[in-house]
Amino acid sequence: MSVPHDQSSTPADAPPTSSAATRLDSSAMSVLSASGTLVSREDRRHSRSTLLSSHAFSRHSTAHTLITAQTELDSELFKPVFRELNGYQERFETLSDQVLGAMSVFDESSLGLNPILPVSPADEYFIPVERRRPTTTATGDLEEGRRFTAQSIADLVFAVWDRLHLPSDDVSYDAVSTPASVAMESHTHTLASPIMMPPLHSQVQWTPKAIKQRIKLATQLKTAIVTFWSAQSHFQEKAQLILDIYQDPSEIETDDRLRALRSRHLHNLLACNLDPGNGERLAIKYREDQDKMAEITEQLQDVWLGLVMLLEKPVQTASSKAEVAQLGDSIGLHESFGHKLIRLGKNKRQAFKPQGARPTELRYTNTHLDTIFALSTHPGKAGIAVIRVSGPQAKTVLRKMTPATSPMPKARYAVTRRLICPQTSEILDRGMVIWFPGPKSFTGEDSVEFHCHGGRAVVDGVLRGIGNVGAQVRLAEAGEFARRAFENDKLDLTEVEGLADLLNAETEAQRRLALRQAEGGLKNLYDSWRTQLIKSMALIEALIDFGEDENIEDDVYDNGKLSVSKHFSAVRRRQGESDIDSAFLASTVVIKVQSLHSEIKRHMDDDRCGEILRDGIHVTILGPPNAGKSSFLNFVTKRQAAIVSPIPGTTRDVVEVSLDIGGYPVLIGDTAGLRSSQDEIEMEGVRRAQDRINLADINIAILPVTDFLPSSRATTPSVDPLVLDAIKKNPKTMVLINKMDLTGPSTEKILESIRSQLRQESEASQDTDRNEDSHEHRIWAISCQTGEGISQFLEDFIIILKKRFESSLTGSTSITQYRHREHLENCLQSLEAFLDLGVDDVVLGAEELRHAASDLGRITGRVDVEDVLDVVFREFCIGK
Amino acid sequence: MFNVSRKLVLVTRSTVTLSWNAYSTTSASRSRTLSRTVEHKRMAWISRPHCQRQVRSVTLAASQALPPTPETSYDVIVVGGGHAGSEACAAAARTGARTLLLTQKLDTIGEMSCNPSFGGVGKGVLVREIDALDGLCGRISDLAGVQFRILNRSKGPAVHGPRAQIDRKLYKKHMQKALHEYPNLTIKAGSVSDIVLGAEILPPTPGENIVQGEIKGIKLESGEVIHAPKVIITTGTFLRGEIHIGLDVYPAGRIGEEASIGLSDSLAQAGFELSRLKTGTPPRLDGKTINYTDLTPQFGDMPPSPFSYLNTDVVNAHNQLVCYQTSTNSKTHEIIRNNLHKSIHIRETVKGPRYCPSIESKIMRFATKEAHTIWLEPEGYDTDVVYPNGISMTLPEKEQIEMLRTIKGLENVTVLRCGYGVEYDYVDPRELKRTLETHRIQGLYLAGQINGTTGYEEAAAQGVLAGINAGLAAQSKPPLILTRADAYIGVLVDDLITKGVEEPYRIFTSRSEYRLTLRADNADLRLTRKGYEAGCVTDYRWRVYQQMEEDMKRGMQLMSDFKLSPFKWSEFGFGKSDDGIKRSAIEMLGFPNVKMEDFYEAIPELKELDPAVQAKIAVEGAYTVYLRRQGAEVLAFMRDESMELPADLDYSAIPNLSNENRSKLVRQRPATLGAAKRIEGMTPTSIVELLKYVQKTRRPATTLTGEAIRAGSRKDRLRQRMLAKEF
Repeated sequence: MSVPHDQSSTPADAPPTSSAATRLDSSAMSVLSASGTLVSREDRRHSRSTLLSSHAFSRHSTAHTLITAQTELDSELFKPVFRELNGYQERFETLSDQVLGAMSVFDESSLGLNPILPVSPADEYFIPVERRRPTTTATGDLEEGRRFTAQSIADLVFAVWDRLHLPSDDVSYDAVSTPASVAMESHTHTLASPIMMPPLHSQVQWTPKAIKQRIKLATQLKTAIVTFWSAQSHFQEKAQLILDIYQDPSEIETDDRLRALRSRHLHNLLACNLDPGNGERLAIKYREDQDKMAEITEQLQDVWLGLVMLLEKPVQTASSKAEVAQLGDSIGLHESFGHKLIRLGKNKRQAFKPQGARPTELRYTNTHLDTIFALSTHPGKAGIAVIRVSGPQAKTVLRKMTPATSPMPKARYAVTRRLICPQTSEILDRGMVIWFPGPKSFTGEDSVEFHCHGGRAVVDGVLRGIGNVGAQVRLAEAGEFARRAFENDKLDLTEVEGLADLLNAETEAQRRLALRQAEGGLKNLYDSWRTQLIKSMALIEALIDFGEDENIEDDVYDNGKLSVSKHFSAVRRRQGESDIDSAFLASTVVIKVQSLHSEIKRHMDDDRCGEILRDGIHVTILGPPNAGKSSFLNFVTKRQAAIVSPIPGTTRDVVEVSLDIGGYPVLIGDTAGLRSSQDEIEMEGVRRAQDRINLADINIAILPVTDFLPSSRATTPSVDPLVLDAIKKNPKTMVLINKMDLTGPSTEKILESIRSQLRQESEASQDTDRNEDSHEHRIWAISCQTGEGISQFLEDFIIILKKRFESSLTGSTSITQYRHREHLENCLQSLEAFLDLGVDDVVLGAEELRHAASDLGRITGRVDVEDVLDVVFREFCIGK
Repeated sequence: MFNVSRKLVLVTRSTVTLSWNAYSTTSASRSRTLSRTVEHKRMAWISRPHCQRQVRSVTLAASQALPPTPETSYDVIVVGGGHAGSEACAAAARTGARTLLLTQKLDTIGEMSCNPSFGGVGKGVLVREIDALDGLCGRISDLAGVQFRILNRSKGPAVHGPRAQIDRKLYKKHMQKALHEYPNLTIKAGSVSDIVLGAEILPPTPGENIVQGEIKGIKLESGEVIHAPKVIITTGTFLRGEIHIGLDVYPAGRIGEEASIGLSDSLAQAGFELSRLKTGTPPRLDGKTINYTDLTPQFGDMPPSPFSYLNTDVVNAHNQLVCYQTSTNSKTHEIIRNNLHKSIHIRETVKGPRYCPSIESKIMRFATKEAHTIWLEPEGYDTDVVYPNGISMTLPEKEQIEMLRTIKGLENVTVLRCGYGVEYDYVDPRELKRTLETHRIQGLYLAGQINGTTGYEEAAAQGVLAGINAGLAAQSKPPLILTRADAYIGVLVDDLITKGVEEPYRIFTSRSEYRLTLRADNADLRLTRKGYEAGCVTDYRWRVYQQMEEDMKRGMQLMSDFKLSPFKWSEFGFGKSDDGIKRSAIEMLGFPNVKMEDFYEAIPELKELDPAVQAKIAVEGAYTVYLRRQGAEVLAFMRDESMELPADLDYSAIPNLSNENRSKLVRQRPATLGAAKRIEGMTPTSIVELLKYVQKTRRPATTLTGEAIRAGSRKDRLRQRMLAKEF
């Protein structure tokens, strides 16, 4: 930097100083803007630097900003600076594109979803890329070039910034007001010198402390800008691309911007499994990264603020008061700009916060792209059951249904796997899995077969688990597997011949089964819902087809008027007087659908009583070792079902006995005592016991009273934490205190103390919903030795069973099949979508109702258009 | 061989077959059986003397007719000049076929026999679809309309229903002018007495004793025979039509016009199942004697929306007439109730339309209602005739006048012509193929009310489809098939041929599963290209369409390429959503209250687009998400539709079909697996069996786009998905 020039300049007055500050602001900001679209249009407008014209697109914003800044800044002073910047910018852009290209190659070789943006500075950031492609020197060069350019830009920023500070220097203060020609000359001269030249040459007038501060800030700025720019460009390209493709793969074809790059990506994306889960993860990643970016933005803002503060310093030393006042203004400007930046950063972060699922999100139904699954063996109790999954997401289903640690099975080899619930990771069963990658499978698509145990609970559990894997996984329609096999050219004639009989049995059996199940209360219930729904549909359809001009003549309005007054007022405001009749009608439907919706919801919130009842009620006996669990089982079953001995830990495996208790099918399982032990076999028993406890509908905990007697142990009497956990897990656990024959006369007192102890324990366990009285475990005192109290317990037990399951027997309104549940859930979804739409758009509303009705119809039969029209004509007098 | 104890119908059918055989001259295959059939013919004549009369109805090409000359031979003959007939003859002529329109009176071509209006909800879409296939009624309505309105404006563009009140005389005038000037079209007055069947007998379907023949032409009352390989019958209510007024009954098609009896016999003779339907029309009033002062007026839209895609404006935009609303009252109802015994029409068991009931049935069915609305619609500019819409009735004249005068505004009304009911024959439309050709007789097409429909638009829609297909078939070109996913015309035809009719069939938007896709605004986009490729769209329309399509494509491209983050959108003044998902402009249209004008700032090129195109884009955008879902449904539907079942499929050879299902299939001969599925009562098993059969015989070689199916490949899946999106 050429100090002499500056020194030779003539003294200046206030305005140029101010304008210099403004220019400084502009130029530095254009660099900042260039390094990413940091500054929103709004902010630009409000800051004094409106010189930067607004532009919404970020891709070429850097160059754009620079050009704009260049053209808008009239001062000759900055021309050479910008020219230089432009040169670098161009170079940077080309290199950057090359780098992006290289990165996309890298992306293709592994579509890594590993952290896109490391928290560490820029150097580390590029390491993974280089490490992955050590052989490609070109990439390395590119990286080198890129880094170099980034460095250069940063240095340039540094230099410019440095230069622009000169006026604020005490000694060269007057230099600002040098005639433009002189200043220009000086700058040109400076910039002509190599950029890597240490920028501190000119800083003779600065105190070492100030210089240090500046260096620090400059470095910060540099790092921040580099990190931010590379992160943003890379991230935006990649994340948005992936997200776009996830949202709609076909969009790739219509998108010109990066067609070549994207189609390569698409290819890869299709090669890997593009399931909703993946997409979800991507979306989360996207948001996280946006957050990170916002953070960096904020860092950048801090740096910026630091710069502003630094700029203030020379102002404070300015001699003239008037100048101070004027400069004060510009400082105020800087401050407000900084605040805006911060606000912007916050907004940005808020905008990218994950939101709840959009309520009106649509379900796509019935496409052959869905992955389908079904129980392929005869429904009902059987030794084993085979569940078949077919479709593009079969692999995902397999992955999610088996523990994450287990390897992908070899194609077409049977392997044993634990089947887990994809959501809770709870173990459903241990069974055989066969993986048939397409096209070598029955359907020609990717297929998986799960061979699990044939119990209803297991089968339903597995089906439910598969159904929960993703939105595009659904139950198969009758004959759909065969249909797919046929469509995919997999069935030859003889196979079809053989299959026909099979299908004949399958579809007919399914139909009959469904009918049989739907008989009675359930059928009537679903039918009545369907009728209600069709009535609602008819109202809407009548409104659409005859609402205008043909004057639906009916009393519906009169009936509805009172009940819909609330909706009505809202609608009247919206639609005006002319359409009031229609509004009445639509509001009536909304109310009807609301009630139907809540009714179906209630029906579904039945704790699966119906399903449980069909399978038998699972009851598990748990407790510490040697509590008398097996004795209890033997007593209840009236036979020696389990081995009993005084040695703790006699029972190792689960002993299951089915019983008829008060008319209810009950499956009692005796389990190993829960305790920590070194014995491997025993621990396996404990593990099994815990699984069983988790699966059970009702748990009975048996605690020996001896544990609570002060005499029995030296330490404070307490229950084993394993047992306590098991009890607490299920608030409905019933507690039996065994061995009451050993307590002597003070029974009541002991029970009271146990009660209080249990209560304490459960309260201590920081339960949130402590208010629920269900946490008050019921306690019975029994003795398996004498039989005392057991009959009392059984009587109470029957009452409890009755309470819980009676409604599902007498009302016969519980869901007995998973299939029903799924359809009902879909139906509910559609109804919710309808309610979301409200009366605003009856056509879309009708669309949702149609979906709801077709789902309901699939349980019992089908809904035809004629049904709806029949109701229309029956209920309304239509026609001009 | 011949079983005398068979039912009458069977006997006559056999007889017919035999007589044709007997007269056959050339075919080698027939000479083989000649001696045998002659013998049987004699037996038949002896055992059933009345067969003489029935054989009358199947005139033979080779016997009585003069040899065909250019004057007596055409490619297509259209019988009937109503709405179906006019469209049918024009459509056939458009395809390049030499066409003859035969009508009882030249003067009644394009007659609007009932209400003076065209279009409505659903119906309006039909008119637009006819126009998109280059039909006439849309354009003529634009010329003859006296009041234009878009119904359902408040309910979203998917169910907009363009409608117009029409000047009867103008409509007739313009329609006749258009037809007289139509190239390839000859118009001739004449009453058809019979159809002429070819001597060639097609092999009967195994296990079925159905007469199958090939049409050769028609025979006039005068005895003249006109030859044509394709005949379209559009006789409306004239087929054995009967008019009912009070207790009077007499045969007629319309008041003052003769019914068509002979043709009905011919069809019955050929084995078609004929049933009866009825409809009615209200009295016509003298407008000068109506007191409008206290009645509610209804005005047309300003500016009016024309029906035709070729028009941007209508002739009478600034000269629209007004309709008035009044209603019946308890006094009116009492008169009707007291005189119900004086009407034969409503007591009959024959079914009438439920959505257009006579005032008598309204009062009977909805006894608690105290008033029914009446619309007083003017019939044209130079007439005082007023059509009181909503009170079709068949009471005796005296009671009609008495009743009318109790109504507000009609206290002193003069009745120009009293209301009457019509009962007529219709052919079970399950006899038809998707082209509206009959299964039974090759080359014979039926369209309009004869198929059990009601309404001008429904008739015209069938007319245009039958006309196009007859014309194409006459030139051995592939047919134009419209499915449920293509058009309301497709829905109409599919409903008719798979479900049949029990009451006069009228289109409703609720009949379509794909209501969001089948709209009034996009009928041209759905059909014009199809029509042009089939060969029934004239060059002028094609040019207009292409221009529009290009604009539309450009607009859609602009809109879908323009993608911004929610934040950026909010900078353009759009409401902010916080999900961070980038949206294209077209997706932004899906948000409520977003208009095309809102994008002008962001995408200035949009301003240059034709406003009509912009409107189309706006609708497309508003439904984007839903259309995508519907697209998936359409795709599933089209997969079923793409599996064709051969027309000569031998259902008796397919095992495991229940008898009930088999007889249904034999009767309706569904063209595709999808159609078979839609037949009522079809079980999954039967469908699987059919599927199996298709597998055995004809693999579906192509997808709907004509590409070979390569199942399972990712590319294919992607393509399918894109297809789904396009719909």
